[in-house]
Amino acid sequence: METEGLREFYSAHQPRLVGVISLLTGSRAEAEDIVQEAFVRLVPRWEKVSRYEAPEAWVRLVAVRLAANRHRDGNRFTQLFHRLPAEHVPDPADRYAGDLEQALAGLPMPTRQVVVLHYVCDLSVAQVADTLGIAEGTVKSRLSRARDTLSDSLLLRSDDHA
Amino acid sequence: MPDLQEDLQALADRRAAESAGDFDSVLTTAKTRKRRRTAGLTVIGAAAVVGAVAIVPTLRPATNTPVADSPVPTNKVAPPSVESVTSAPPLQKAGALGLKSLKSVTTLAGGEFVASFPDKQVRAVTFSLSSASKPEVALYTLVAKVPGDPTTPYAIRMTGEAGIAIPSYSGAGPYTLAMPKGLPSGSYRVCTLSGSLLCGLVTVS
Repeated sequence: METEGLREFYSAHQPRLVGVISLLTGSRAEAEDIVQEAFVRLVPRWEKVSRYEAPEAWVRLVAVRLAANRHRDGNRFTQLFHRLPAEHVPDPADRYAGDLEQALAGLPMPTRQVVVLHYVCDLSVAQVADTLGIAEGTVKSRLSRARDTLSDSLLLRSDDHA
Repeated sequence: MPDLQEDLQALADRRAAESAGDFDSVLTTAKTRKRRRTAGLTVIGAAAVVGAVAIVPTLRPATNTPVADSPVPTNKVAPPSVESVTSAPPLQKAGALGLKSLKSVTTLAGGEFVASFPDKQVRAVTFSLSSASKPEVALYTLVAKVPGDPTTPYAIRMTGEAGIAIPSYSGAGPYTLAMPKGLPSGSYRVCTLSGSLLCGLVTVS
């Protein structure tokens, strides 16, 4: 196994992937666990996955599914999110980020997945649909609902800046 | 909605900057899991060997004496086939439950026929014989010809009695089978008793 290539891949993509998954889980610590697990699953498959056009998409998909599974398996997310203020006290100057994070956490997991893949990972509607195995129309409707919900957070920032 | 996109990306970037990865622990965990998986397979393999050793003696017939009530003398080779299948017949999908059917073959009661399967899977040399109209009731267990065993092939009537000795041989086929003597004319179903369920129709004329 080509360990050095895998190490470089890990260094290049692990931090960003933690950032992406933390938007799904609401917890960076939880996201780190999930991303770590995704990379553990990548190790025995690295020889094959490294030949893919976008190996990072494979790891991201595994991580997104793991996050969804953990969310579905219990109320872990809720517990973690309730724990979040204790481990991550937002800076008052960073109030908007906290509001946005809260609003994002209020979205159902399927909607959050769509938002994160589309807005953060820059996937097109078609690519999101393909990744999650859902119809493009479903992606669009979830994005629309998400925009409505999250717009409150954006308005909050506008008020602050005014 | 560019603002939302920018804000979400900024949030993700911030979390990314805070993250601390540990590549060595990823490698260690992956290797540990691989070792565990290998160890698990070894244990399963050992258990299978122990199981096989324990089962084989109980299935092997103790003597070559004829089995009681068998319509085909077990120490005598059945007469040659009237009509037989000598090449691998193609599998055809038929019915529910993934049941597959072999091409039908016609023979006489007491005649021999050959069954072969394209998948070449190693399976036990025993097959069940039932009426095509009542396939759930096994009438006989057919034991295919085993090289070096002149008592085979033969058929054992399913009387519901326990303690029937059946050879534990297995092979990839083709399997030479004997229809019981005195079997009434009609359509019968022959099915595998091990591995995936594969059945064929045999017409006794």
